[in-house]
Amino acid sequence: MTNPRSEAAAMLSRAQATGDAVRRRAAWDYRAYFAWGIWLLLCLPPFDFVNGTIWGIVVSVTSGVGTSLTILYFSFGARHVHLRRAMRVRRWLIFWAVWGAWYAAWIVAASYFHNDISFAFTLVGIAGAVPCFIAGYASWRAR
Amino acid sequence: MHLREQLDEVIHQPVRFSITAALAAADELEFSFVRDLVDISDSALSKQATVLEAAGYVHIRKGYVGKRPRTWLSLTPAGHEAFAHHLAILREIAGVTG
Repeated sequence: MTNPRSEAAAMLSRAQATGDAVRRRAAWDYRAYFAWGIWLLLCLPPFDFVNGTIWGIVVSVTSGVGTSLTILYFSFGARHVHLRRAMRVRRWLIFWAVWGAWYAAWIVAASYFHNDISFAFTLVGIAGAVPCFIAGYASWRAR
Repeated sequence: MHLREQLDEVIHQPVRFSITAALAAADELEFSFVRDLVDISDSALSKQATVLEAAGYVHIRKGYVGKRPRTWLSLTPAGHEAFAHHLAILREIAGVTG
């Protein structure tokens, strides 16, 4: 005969293990945010030092691929798991909309002032990357 | 009444318990994800999900990703409440505090 106490303890352990397995498999969002943060830090500063036309092609291609992958991941159900916090308000959508406006403003400013400020695009890279790292950290914590 | 009699029979069945525990950890899970996690067949999951749905504990949503049909499962508020109550009873039986 099964001991009810040990049976209950085993079920509680199973519930915990199952929940942990779901959380481990879910919430990869933070990787997308971190990837964009790193991309910004790697791709924008060179505009201050190298030929913008050639480097611009590299940046355009990689950003196009990255954007496509990001949209696929976030929008079209590439994820099998929707974590509660991620799903309720679609925070990722709000983040990318606000971040897009923020980043565009910095790009416009850098385009105007890059002759006056020698590290204008490095600044843009940092300004764009910081929100990504913050969102990535928040997303990582929310797993 | 003994504590065991307070356990929810719908949730207590082992496969349904695992399904419910998985759904409790997320807002929504895709059918195939739950199937692989719980390690059961499509038909077994479909059958147990239907039982949970009939009890009002699970919501089954059908949709498409591109052109592919997909099914998502989620716990209803009643499902969350029932599962939380079920765990509380199990903790009492196991003598676990907190």
